[in-house]
Amino acid sequence: MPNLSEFFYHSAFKSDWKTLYLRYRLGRLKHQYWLWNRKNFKQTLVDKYDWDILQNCQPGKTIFFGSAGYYLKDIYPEIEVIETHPIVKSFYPSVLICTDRSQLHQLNLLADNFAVVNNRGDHWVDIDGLSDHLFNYIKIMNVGCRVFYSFRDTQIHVNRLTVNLKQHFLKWARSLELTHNLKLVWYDINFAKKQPDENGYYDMLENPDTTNGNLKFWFVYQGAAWDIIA
Amino acid sequence: MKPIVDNIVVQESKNLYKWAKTFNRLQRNFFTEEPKLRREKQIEDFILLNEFKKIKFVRDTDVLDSVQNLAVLSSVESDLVVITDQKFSRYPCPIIIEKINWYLERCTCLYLCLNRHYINIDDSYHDFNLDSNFNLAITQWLKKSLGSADVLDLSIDYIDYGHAFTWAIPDRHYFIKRHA
Repeated sequence: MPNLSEFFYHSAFKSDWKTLYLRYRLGRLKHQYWLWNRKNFKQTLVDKYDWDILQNCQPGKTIFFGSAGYYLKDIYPEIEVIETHPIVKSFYPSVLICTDRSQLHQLNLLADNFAVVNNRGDHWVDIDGLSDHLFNYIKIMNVGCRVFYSFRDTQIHVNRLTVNLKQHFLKWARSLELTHNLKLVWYDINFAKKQPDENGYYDMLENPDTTNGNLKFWFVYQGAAWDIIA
Repeated sequence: MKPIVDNIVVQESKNLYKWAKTFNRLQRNFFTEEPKLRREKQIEDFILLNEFKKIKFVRDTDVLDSVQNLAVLSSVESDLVVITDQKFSRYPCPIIIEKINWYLERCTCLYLCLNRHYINIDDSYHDFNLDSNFNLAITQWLKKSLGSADVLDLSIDYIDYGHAFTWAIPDRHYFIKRHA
């Protein structure tokens, strides 16, 4: 009779480089851009949503946290990239590693633009957990910092049958002005619109934008809203 | 910010996930000893101990290989349909019910695995009378919606912190049997 596993912690993970890399890689889809760009000298690809973020950054320090932002740092070297997985340092030495977001302030950085794009490490919590993450993030923000926060609804704890999800997440985002001094400036809440095709078939896809997250919220920390550059 | 390259091409965001078909093997290789998934064994033993002999499998990744000798091509010729395909959970709620009924019209017994994280994926179905425990609410919704079948929940009640093998075999397990 083999040992039966229901949860990962019933077994021990390998700790070799390849395994650590693959585990990281599976959870960091945007890493693909770094792989593409380092081998392609004719063009440098930037994901459209990241591009939108960059167009809306203000002068000052820009930080990408847990979002494979190193592919952008190759294009804009002034970006500070913080990752939670130490394995990243092995292939991108100039990345800053912070395994616990509550220790972010120890990096002695203050952001004027702060982006978290579908960070797998931010998932598997409810909206209160997301708020806790943001409490740690605002500790390293300057007044007026622009905050770009996106994630996937399917990996956030919520009773999906008894809760109107759009209202749930929007209400949460708006509540952050009172609790975190984060004023909602722009949002995009995108759930699949499942309609049968001409043959009566439904697509079986996930909610849109599994790469960047289908729930996108932009805030300003203790400051005034800016005119969004679309 | 000024870029240091002049050949930037902005690419529309696209789905970059590409490991679906071999995900189970890939994930099991992360461990010092390859784990046997408890929920996979549950299905295998359910088939064995209830003497199902002709199974229509609906899978999306490399699971349940040990019982593929029992596979038949069509649900009409099967005595049990087993669905572990994650994508099934991504239909709108009413369509999930429609699809279950479609299978039950062709085969009396259905072993259905649903991925809780995809249920009501389009945010179009709400029933505020269901239980506040999401796992129980899913079962209540199925029972309420499948009047012509018996629904038995075979799952474990737990909060998912991302430490389960849900993307190999979904977490909610139901044995659904059409009324005679």
